[in-house]
Amino acid sequence: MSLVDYNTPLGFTWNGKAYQGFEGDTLASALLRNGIKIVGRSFKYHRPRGIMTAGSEEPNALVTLIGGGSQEPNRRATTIKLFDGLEAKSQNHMGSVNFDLLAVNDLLSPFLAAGFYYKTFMWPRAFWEKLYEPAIRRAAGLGALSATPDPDQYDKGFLHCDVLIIGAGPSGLLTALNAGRAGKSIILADEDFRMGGRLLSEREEINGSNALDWVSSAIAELKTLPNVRLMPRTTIFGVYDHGIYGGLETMTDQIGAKGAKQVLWRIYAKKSVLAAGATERPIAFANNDRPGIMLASAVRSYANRFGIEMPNSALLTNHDDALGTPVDHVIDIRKGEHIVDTQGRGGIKQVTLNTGRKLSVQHLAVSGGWNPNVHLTCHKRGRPKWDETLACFVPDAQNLPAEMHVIGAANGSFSTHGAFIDANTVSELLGVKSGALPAAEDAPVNITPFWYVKGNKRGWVDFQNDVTTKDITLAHQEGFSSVEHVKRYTTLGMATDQGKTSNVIGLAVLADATGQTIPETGTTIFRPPYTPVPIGAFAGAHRGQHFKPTRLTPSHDFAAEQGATFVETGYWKRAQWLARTGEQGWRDSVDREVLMTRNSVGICDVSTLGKIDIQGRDAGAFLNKVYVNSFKLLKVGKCRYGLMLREDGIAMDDGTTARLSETHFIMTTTTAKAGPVFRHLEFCRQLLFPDMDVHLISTTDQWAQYSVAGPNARKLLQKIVDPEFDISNEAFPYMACGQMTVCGGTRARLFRLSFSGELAYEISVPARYGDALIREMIAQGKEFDAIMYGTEALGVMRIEKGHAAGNELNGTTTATNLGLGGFVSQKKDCIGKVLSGREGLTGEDQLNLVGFVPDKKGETLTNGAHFINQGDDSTPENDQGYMSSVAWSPMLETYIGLGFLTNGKKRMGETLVAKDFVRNNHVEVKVVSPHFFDPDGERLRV
Amino acid sequence: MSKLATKSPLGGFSRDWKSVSLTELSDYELVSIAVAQGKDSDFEKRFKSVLKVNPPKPNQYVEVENGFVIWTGQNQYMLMMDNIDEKADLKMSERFGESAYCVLQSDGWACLQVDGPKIMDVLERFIPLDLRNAPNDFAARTVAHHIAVIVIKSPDGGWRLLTPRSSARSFLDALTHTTDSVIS
Amino acid sequence: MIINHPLLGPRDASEFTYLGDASLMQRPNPKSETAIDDFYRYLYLRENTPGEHRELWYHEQGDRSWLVVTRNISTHEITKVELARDVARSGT
Repeated sequence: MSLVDYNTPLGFTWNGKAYQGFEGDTLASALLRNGIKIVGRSFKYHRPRGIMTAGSEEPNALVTLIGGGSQEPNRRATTIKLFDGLEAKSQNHMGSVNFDLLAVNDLLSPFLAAGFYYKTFMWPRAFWEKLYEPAIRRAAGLGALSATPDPDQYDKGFLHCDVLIIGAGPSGLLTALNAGRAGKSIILADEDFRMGGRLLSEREEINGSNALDWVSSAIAELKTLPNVRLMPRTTIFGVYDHGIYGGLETMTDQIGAKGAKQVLWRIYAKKSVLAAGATERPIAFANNDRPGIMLASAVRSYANRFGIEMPNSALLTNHDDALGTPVDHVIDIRKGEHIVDTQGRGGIKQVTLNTGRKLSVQHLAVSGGWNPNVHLTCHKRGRPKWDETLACFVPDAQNLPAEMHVIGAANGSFSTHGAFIDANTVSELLGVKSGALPAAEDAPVNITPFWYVKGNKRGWVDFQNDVTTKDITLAHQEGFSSVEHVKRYTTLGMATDQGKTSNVIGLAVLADATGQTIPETGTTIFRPPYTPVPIGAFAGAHRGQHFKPTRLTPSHDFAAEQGATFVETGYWKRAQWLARTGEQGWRDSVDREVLMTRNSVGICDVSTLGKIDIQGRDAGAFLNKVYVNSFKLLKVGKCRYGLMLREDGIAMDDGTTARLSETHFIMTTTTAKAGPVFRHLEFCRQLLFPDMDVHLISTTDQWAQYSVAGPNARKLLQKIVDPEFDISNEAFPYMACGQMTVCGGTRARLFRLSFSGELAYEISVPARYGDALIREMIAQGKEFDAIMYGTEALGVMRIEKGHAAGNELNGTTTATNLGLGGFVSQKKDCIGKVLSGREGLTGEDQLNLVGFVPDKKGETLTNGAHFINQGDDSTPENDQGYMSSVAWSPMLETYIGLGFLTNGKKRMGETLVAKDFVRNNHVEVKVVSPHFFDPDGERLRV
Repeated sequence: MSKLATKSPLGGFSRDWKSVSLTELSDYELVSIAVAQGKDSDFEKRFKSVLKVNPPKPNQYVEVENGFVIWTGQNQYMLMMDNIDEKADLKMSERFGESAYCVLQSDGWACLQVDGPKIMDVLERFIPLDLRNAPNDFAARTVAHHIAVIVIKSPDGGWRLLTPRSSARSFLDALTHTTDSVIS
Repeated sequence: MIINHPLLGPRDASEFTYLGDASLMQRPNPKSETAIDDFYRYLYLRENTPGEHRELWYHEQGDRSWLVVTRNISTHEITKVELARDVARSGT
């Protein structure tokens, strides 16, 4: 009997040599089929190791898959489905796997016991950093990364179901049949590429025929049910809150294949049934880790599922179940015999029994019993409970994740009959009828606990991390008695197999050392993931350009055509400057943009600033609550600057709000704060003022908005705005706003606002016209040499005018710091008003926003420099404040800066030192008004 | 007659993978309607008289002449009209009077029609909601790949997706990437 | 984590953002003589005991409603979800 398709041979390469396997093989079965004994070297001692299991619990056969110009280390050969052209190599050896130069470590083992970093490599102290640590690092780890970008694609998805059945062995399959026939939406997931669980590896009968027939017909029927989703090669790796499960589906093991290699599923299940089976455990004795020593259940898998014979074999066991393994000699511990040593470094040759007898063998099957796969029952901080009769941990029914049931071997029901009974029982609990009970074997569990052979020689417990019985007793001797400490000190159970074949044996050794029982010793907590999940799967498609969304402005394509350089502001891409041919470096472009705008007219896309449409009978009253200044009485057709505080008195955001009608306002926010301000406004609206008639909606993307600034701004706009609308200085003064039409009837809004300090407007059209409008304005602006300017020039101009922006509204500054203390209305409450009057934010010695110029013309100012009085030491106690924004001013032909200075308003004309220890740039600066250019605002009102 | 041409967020995108097809729709207007406080009954009367149906419930849309209305929040709805009229919000405002506040939203959203026998395989990699079990009048707002999306079930078996204009190209990129991955 | 929205049904927590304790709904009287102290308590002092908390969550990627979620911070079990506006109106 074998489930391998001998009609479909597959070629593969192992350590550079070509071999053949078959469809249905794993890499492990294909290696065994080809007589490969040594598949790797152990972690610490570099001992030769062979394949030990036939499942995801494999601790030894960790290989590197090669393909797509890359490689994937630490893959378990037992879970790789063989494909044609597979290329793999062994890991963790210097030289060949058969002759590893680092095997000298095994001779040094007395110096490499648990905790050796802290014991052996302590002297001389200087050698640790220079010699020992680098050497240990180089030797540590198993496989190596490719150091190239991962060529694989991954994806993520969302599934919903009534019942998630974890495991497609007999109990899972029968539950799926019952629930599926009843119309429940079911997901049946199994980590193997073939469903059937242990039935695939044993020779059993169900209803009087080959068990595999029952498996095939069950799967065939499930495939016909539209409400059932079969998911082979899908590991349910984690249980999360509220019925959410993580599943990793593997589509292929091929590296660089087309399409997603793996899909990470978030599964929302109303209920789950854990039918994950059990994992066999070995027994620890001296030299129990040689190639050719396997779990008995693995020997049966390779024989029955993969058709691989293992001649000249023996079995070591303490329970009846393993007796079905096809071997030549049985060593039954219950009859007083056990193994005390083995010979055969490159592959087992001989075993020595306690009776003195020696047996020549080429294969040794070992079984100490079965451990139910309880892991998922513990992901919500549950702990399993010890079953004395079964000599294993079982799920604690009182402490399961909500809505989870456990059945079959995972619940300690080890016979196939027991699995079917559990399936029918849980079906009733799920509210579905159970079908007829299939007839199957019902062997009782006859086990006498035996975990390890006591004695002086090392018996391996954790094969992957090379932790032996001696390490555990040593840890206890050194004072580590709690199971949590022993785990971390010895690293038992901390490898990629998470102790699946070693945890319980380790507990038994510790229990003996402490004189406690196994249940008294307890277990450590199982956490997701059950088996390793690649980081790439968690990333899914979110890598490279897909890492985060990009938001584009209405003028983006136009700006790109003009050769704009873009800057990322959160998700947005904004034109930073638009270089012209001949310009060398960004300063050339930015200085030119400032000069051309201030001398004629420039246009900047300001669509990214948040626009919040606020309507309602109480809209004005609402604005009074969130802004420090008054808006309730703002006239229709007018805009006003507003400052918003956090409830702790710190400035949150600023902007301008326009009143279009009695009940209609448009608020603007800074780009970065659009989302948080909207959230804050909804908080105020729903929680603090739930009875106000006020309604909010974001219109940031709805309207394209351009700033048109400069002495020729009005002239340009008079060519854009339709003639029936009067935008003369008299009809449309500074801070006016209104609805109008442009370019022959397109709906628009005009706001006379100025961030640059020039005669300026913001013109807004529905975004569908945004691209056309910028092109039309530039075309109409040709006679004025109109240009588009970017965020750098925007920034230079607002610094020249002394306007606060994000650098100043940095989450630590108050209205007083910003020079807006007088702006805060005394006649009304607002968010932040009370605490802005608290100790520390008021009184003497507050920071004031002021301007700075270098004392010596031509010197550079840098942002973040701290102000120290001349002659004082640069200490925190002498810190007078810091520089928040700097720019080269093309208008004043000097560097200018804005910054916060203690009592700055009273220190005009003083000279201080601006100290920048990061860029080593210390400059003497003079304190001046922050309004550098056109301080009286004459240009604004023309 | 306006000089200015319009530009749709996705440039008229259309692609057919045979088992999945994605097409940008651009002939529509969106109007958000918020019920004024204390005017619930007046609003309901006007809604019925203007649109001839009862307002939708959460997770639902109702069909109206030339479009449909989605529930978008408590006392808030979105009207989608399958024709161009950039004054749609002003007109609605007039018809609802003091009972509601209307805001144009058409330009703020891009619209994609998605269809095909394999569309559910694509959507389950993209949208966190249980779309396979959604009733025929399902409409809901959620997030996909960090981007807002409104999902509307079409009567003909396909879906209409609305996503904010500024990130629409990223959204489409992610959706075509997912489709390529599922189809391959 | 799943939040069972009172109007929309169960939704993934990724649609929401968390603000803080539900006591933020009870904004102190700004005209009180002890206003500064009251606001300080309101903003900064929390009992923070293990067990049930009443939390404010904002359905940013959904209907933009604020919710009061009663959640056990030790077991993560959510026992109640209410529309914050209704709670605010009822004064609790």
